[in-house]
Amino acid sequence: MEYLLNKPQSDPRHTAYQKQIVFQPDSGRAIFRGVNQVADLIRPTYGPLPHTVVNDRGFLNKDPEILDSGGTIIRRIPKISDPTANLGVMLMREMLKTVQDKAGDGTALAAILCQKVFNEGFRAIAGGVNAMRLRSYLESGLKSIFNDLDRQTQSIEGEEALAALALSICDDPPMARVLGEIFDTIGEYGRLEVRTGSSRNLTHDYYEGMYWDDGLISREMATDPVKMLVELENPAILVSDLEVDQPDELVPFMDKVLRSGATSLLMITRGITGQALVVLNHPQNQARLRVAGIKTIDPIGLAPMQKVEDLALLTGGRPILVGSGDKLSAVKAEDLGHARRVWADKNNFGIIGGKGSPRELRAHINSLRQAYRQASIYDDRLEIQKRIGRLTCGSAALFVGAEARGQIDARKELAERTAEALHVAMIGGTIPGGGSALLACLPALQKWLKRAEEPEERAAARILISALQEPMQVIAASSGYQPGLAVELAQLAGEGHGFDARSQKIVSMRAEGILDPAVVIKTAVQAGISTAALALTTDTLVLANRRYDNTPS
Amino acid sequence: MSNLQQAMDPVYSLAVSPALHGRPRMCLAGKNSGLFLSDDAAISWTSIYDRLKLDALVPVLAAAFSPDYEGDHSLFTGVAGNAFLSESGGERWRGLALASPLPTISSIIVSPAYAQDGFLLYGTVEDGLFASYDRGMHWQSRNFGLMDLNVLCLAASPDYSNDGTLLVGTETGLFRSKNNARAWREVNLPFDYEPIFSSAFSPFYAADETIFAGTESHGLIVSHDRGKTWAELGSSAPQDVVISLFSLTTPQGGFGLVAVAENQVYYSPDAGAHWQLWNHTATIPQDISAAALLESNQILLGTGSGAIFTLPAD
Repeated sequence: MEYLLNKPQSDPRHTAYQKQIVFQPDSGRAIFRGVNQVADLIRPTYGPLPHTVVNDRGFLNKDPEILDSGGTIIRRIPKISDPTANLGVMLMREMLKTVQDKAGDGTALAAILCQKVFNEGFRAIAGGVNAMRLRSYLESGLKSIFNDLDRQTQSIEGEEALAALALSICDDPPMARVLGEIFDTIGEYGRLEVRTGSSRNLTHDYYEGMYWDDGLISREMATDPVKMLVELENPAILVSDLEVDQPDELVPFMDKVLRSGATSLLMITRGITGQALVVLNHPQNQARLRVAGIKTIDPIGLAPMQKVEDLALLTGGRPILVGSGDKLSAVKAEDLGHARRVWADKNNFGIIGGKGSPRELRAHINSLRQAYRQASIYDDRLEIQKRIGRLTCGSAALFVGAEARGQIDARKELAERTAEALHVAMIGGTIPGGGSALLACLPALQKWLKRAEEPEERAAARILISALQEPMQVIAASSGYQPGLAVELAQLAGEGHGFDARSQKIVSMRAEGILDPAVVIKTAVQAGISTAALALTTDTLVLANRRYDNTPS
Repeated sequence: MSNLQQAMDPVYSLAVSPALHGRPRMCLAGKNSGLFLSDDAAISWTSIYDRLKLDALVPVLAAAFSPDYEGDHSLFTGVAGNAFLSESGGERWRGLALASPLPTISSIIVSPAYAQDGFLLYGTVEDGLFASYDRGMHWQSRNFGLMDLNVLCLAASPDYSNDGTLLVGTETGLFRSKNNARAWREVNLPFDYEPIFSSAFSPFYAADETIFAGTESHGLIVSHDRGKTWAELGSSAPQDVVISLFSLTTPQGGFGLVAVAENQVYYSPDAGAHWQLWNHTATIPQDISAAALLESNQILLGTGSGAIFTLPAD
């Protein structure tokens, strides 16, 4: 049954919004269609022999793109043509985006689990089971699954193990080898930048030094005008968010710096303008005190303050902040930081050998690592990684090439995704891959099923038991093997054994280096099962249909 | 005591050559007053500072011999603002082209397989590390992963030619490289154990994965898993700041440790489990500033007041 609701119009220029309400059983069927469309689209990308999806971009005058990441694929689908199924699609879309943001990988697994749990739950509800109680039992079953996944988690280290894990994620042997070496070098919190390479191959390098993405304020400050580069040795450093435009404040400050014995000065500011800039750039003044001015502080957001905090700690200076009531005229020599060397060009500046307290610096880096472990959003983790990378003297860069130009973006994205998964694996540990860790959770669920009394409890146990076998079945089916047989043989072989799609054999997954990052699997399991449980309790859909100028639909 | 004692002429570095056929070991001493060479196992010394051809007298802070000295006659030394290499047993020296600002070399590591790989690692006071992979012809800054650039100690794995493993102790802690100094990773030390003043590998590191480090306020610490976990060596171990640490194999097939503090020398015959004084009877100066192992039962010590002497084990 549907109702159309009109919003009252006070101004004929306003559009009228019509809503469509969809009740059971149509709502359930609509979500069923949406969930299954997305899951069927993405599940073939799961496993070491993934199938790909081609996305048409002709309407953008671009070549089609070849995708194999569930998170990327779903981002290309803002809507589908079936408006009721769309809400099921939206549900899956949000789930997959969350999984990718949190863990960098695991979207296909989340889609598979969500589809299986939802479909079997849908049938159970049609058979008379109560949806809310079923949802409650499904979510309580997660605890048992997580206990078993934690039990199987081991740390990962060493270039070979990291390369093997990378291979299981990206299925690109040269990329896996390089990433294994990089991550063995930079560690779990190290900074890696993935860039477009100039050749067909993958190359990488390690860049020393701490640098930031802010450059020289004026060309006149450069000692090398061609490169627009200035290098200072043993400078004093002002770390601030001040706007410097008054010579009356600047000149006394420069005198103070000179009296402290410094012969060069790096001024990190929100800007140096007007007469103050003229004074600084005057050749006579530059001859007395070589000054490089950096404009770095963007007044919006938390990031600028974090940058000031990092720079002050690194150099041993006191941050001079407008918000604290600081003025340039009141800055003392002991408020300044110091470093062995600094450099600046039009785009960046760098600090080498900051003279801040080593102990405070180490404590600060440890607190950033803590924050990284607790960050649930990918962008937040990336930002913290950049800060840690800057403070630990360097970052790695991976230059990605490919045979065809159109493949480079996909290969870069694959590298970024694999890198993120390696980060989380190094922090959160690994479990046997290929779905074998999920099979190891079945005994506890089977015990639960035996003692379950209520129909919803029994249904939840059966659904989870069935769902946890699905990932290995998908891998087996992708490689042309019998899905049910693969699972049965793996269970007979014992915990930790699984189906190796490449050799088509049952192997000890850990011994063969076929591992999954524990955080990725747990995030996918949590998201897939919880989303399905939520979807099963959705009774009614309210769809928005927009109409202009009250034109009847 | 040797003839090399002057008032307030600190000894900054000592180095001993590998065993030489048919002659005593050679020794190098870096002092405030220059560079000195001994060819009779530290009994007498000769100044060779003028061979560096420097315009002014600067303290010599670091010195080392090639492990293949008998074959290549190579010596290495570092001063404030420069570093030198001799391939003629100290007769002729060449300055090394290091980047500006000129660093102050404070420590030198020569690869145990120098004859094959030509690897040198120089630690500096505030510019971190410089490495050469071609016997000092070319140098590269090697600070990736370090939190600070004040190098306090260096150590190379006894199996360096296979594992490429090095340790550097700094103000912010202990860092390990597994790729010939190309990059460093912080070793997982408990907080407040830095700075690290000394470090040493077990002679059997490939098998036992054991590393030792001397801290400022927690004495000597040991790891048996390549630095993943650490334990303090216990109450019998020296609690002073250990400025030099040496490991040496014992006739019984195990290994011992020699720990040199500012006012005492300690010895453990059993890899750090138990400790005793290296020499119970000798009067030990209170300002030991440099040390080198002369023989398995003799240590060469230098002091802040300029004395250099050998101390036999009991």
